[in-house]
Amino acid sequence: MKIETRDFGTMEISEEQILEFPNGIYAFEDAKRFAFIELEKGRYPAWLQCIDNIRPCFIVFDPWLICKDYEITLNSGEKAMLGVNDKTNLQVLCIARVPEDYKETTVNLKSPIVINMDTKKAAQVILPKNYPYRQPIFKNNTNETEKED
Amino acid sequence: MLVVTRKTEESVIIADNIEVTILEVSKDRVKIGISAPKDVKIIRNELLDTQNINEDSSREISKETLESLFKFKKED
Repeated sequence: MKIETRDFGTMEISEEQILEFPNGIYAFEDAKRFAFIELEKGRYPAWLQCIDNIRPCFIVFDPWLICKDYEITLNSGEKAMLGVNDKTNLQVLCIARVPEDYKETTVNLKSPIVINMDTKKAAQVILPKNYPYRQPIFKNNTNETEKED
Repeated sequence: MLVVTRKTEESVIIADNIEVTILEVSKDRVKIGISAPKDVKIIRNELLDTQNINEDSSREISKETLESLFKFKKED
C-alpha cells in the first residue's frame, strides 16, 4: 500500500512492515498503526511512520547500539497486551530526538518501543530502571549510560 | 520544595481538598493514596516526561539534518 511519510514523501510499504499499537504511543494515543521503515535491512536509524496520518513520525535506533548492557523488563500487563511468552520474537527500538545539529541527537532509553515480531503488536513501555530520556549517541561515552537526575 | 516527614497512615492536605496519604513504606518504594476532586489531573511523572519527549521527537526535521543522518548511516 502507498502511504504519505514525513521524511520520504509517498512511499510503498508492505503488509509485514505494519505494526499495530493497541494503545497508541504516549501523547499520540490515536496513532494505532505505524510502518516500520528500514532504508536497509537491520541498519539504523530506521523510521516509525504513522500510517493513517503524516504525523507522528519517529526516528528510531536499536538501543543496544547505544547501551551495550541495556535491559528491558515487561510487567505482566505489558506481556499480556503484547501476547509475549518465552518464545516470542521481540524487537526493541528507542525513539531519537534529532535537533538541528544532528550530532546532538539523543535517544530515549527510559521508554522504548517493544514489538512482538510474531504478531506485529507493539507498545511503548516505561521501564522501572533509571535509564535516561535523553542519552546522547554521538559522544565518546556512548557505551556507558549516563544517569539522569 | 516543602519537605515533611510522615508515618504510615498519616497524610498531608493540599489546598483544602486534596489529601495525600502514606499507605505503605518498604525498602525502596512508598505506596501513597491520593483523594482529590475529579477534575484534578494526577499523572505519574515518567508518563508526562515520556509524552513530552515523544512530542519533541516527532517534530519536523530539516532536509540538511536528514542528509547528515544518512551520512551517519553510511559511515557507521
